[in-house]
Amino acid sequence: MRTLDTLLYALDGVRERKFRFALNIIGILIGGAAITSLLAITQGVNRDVSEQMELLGPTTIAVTPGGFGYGGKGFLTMKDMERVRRIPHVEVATPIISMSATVVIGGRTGIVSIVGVVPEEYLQVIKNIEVAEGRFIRRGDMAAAVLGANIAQPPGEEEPIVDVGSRIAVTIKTEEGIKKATYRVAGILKETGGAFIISPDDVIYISLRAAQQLFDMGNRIHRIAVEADAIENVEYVVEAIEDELGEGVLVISAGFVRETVGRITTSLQVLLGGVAAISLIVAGIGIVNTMTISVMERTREIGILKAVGAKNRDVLLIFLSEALITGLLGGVLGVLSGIFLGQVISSIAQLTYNIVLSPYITPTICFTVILFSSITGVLSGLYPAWRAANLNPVEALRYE
Amino acid sequence: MTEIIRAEGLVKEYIQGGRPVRALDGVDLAVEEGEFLAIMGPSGSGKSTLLHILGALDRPTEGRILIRGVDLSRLSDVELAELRNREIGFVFQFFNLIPRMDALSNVELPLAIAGIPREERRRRAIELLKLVGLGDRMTHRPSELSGGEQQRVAIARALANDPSIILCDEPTGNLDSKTGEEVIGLMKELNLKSGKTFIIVTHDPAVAQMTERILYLHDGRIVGEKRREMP
Ligand SMILES: Nc1ncnc2c1ncn2[C@@H]1O[C@H](COP(=O)(O)OP(=O)(O)O)[C@@H](O)[C@H]1O
Ligand SMILES: [Mg+2]
Repeated sequence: MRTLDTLLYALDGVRERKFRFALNIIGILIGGAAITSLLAITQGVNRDVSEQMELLGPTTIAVTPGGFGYGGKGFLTMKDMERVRRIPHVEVATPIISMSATVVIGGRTGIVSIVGVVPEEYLQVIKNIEVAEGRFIRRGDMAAAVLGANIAQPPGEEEPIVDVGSRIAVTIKTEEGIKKATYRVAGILKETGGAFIISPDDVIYISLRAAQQLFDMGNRIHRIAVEADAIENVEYVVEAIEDELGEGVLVISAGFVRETVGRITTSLQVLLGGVAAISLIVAGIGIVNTMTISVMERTREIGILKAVGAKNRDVLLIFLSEALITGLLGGVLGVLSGIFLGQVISSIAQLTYNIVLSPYITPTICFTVILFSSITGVLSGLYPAWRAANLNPVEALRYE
Repeated sequence: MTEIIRAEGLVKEYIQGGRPVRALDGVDLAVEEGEFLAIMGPSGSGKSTLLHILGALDRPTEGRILIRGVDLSRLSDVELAELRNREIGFVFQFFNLIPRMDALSNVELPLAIAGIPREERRRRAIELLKLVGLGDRMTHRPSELSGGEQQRVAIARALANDPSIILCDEPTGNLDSKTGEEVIGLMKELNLKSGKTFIIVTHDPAVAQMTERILYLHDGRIVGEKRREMP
């Protein structure tokens, strides 16, 4: 029998048992959709992180107080910064102060990160900052602020809620009580799509000195952004900083983050993929079951096929094709549902946890899911197809 | 005339309830090409078993069958399947058509198994259905056809690969006598026109009357033979 005829015959066979076929397809579809969406989401996380790392550049290193207060110091000092600056292969080391404050902008109130930086140094490290309107802050500015794109025009707004030249009011709570300050908007930034540690789109920049004064920081700072002179020296610089500042700090390079996230997402993929794969196995068992019943119901048909000259191999391939069609169709529908499911999961994550997940469907994911679904189908069909192929034709024709 | 089928000492045993049962108990048989032969015998005498073995659908426990001098016991299962496909056509009491497929597709089945391309298959199936008088029923499913019509479809299917031997197991057993006679008449016509060999297992003396030779089977043995000159 020709391959095409075998497939057409198999297709005719499944059409006759639409309901059962549909149930099997749904089984495979659920497994396929689960795998697709989970792979797409982890893949998306990986991609987002990698993209952010690209923005940052491979030579950037962030130094933060280790453990974010849990056993760590919680702060670094200007002195730490000076020590880092003296390490060989460090091109730039610049201090950052970053704290939340209640801010009134254009009549709206919200909690926003206020970031104090040394402008010319900071811009050497974070290279993707561009001014849309006005200017960036200057070293000596004490009353000027520059707004990230999402601050000036929150997502969903048609127009900016604030202009260059207008004023914003900042309120913070300190141990001594409420403290207020007013800044003039000196500039508004273009959207950057994010960066390492701090997302320029979602913060308000002021000068380091203004931040020290506002938050009463004295000598303390929150972070040091470091730029090494060459990629091959990044590892050396990371280790030198760790040696210099001791265990209490966390030194992170773009490569380190990418690697860590890659490891986490890979193990997540294996774990979640494994869980989802179980649903495929369950679907496979369902196929074994229903196909075995089908073979029994179709005993006479198999007898007829053999009487008119079908070989065992022809019968085997007919039933395997049915299983393959089930797996393949289930897989294709599973991928399509998985794409949809990924969107649903990311919307839910966004709404309930405010986590932005952007599922990333690659051709490899689609291909893998369809391949595994098809393999599941064929493996599940092996036993029933083997039974069908080996039916004794005389017995099969007697069968009522 | 050339001998097309020869059976020597055919024995077929089944195990039933732990005991061997002899369905065939030493059958010798020779059939000439182009014969129109009936096998008669009471129920359980081994007629179907004999037909299945002659048609390469089953293997005997003992003895051998030669078709055109080829010893079937020397053929593999695959070769037997090919032989059934090309050299033998079966017609059954219960028609054994595939219910979900229309008349054309049923007739095309042996052709598809032989790997014949689609258009040729269709052309040949149309030709055969016209030959058995079903030119206007080709896209009907078995459930939409009368018993006589279904049996004609089955005959067309048996003829699909132009085999030289047609084996019929009580082909009129499920038809009224008039329709049965028409079906046997069609077979006789095909036999005369194309020289195909027909072996018809039957209960029905009226059917046997239309053949040239009758073999009587009893308890798995051939117990008698009657020859008649055909008009
Ligand atoms: N598969 C089988 N297993 C056991 N016994 C069988 C089987 N097939 C046929 N027989 C027995 O063989 C004998 C002949 O059966 P069969 O060839 O069908 O007779 P007929 O067609 O003449 O009615 C019967 O006794 C039947 O019970
Ligand atoms: Mg019988």
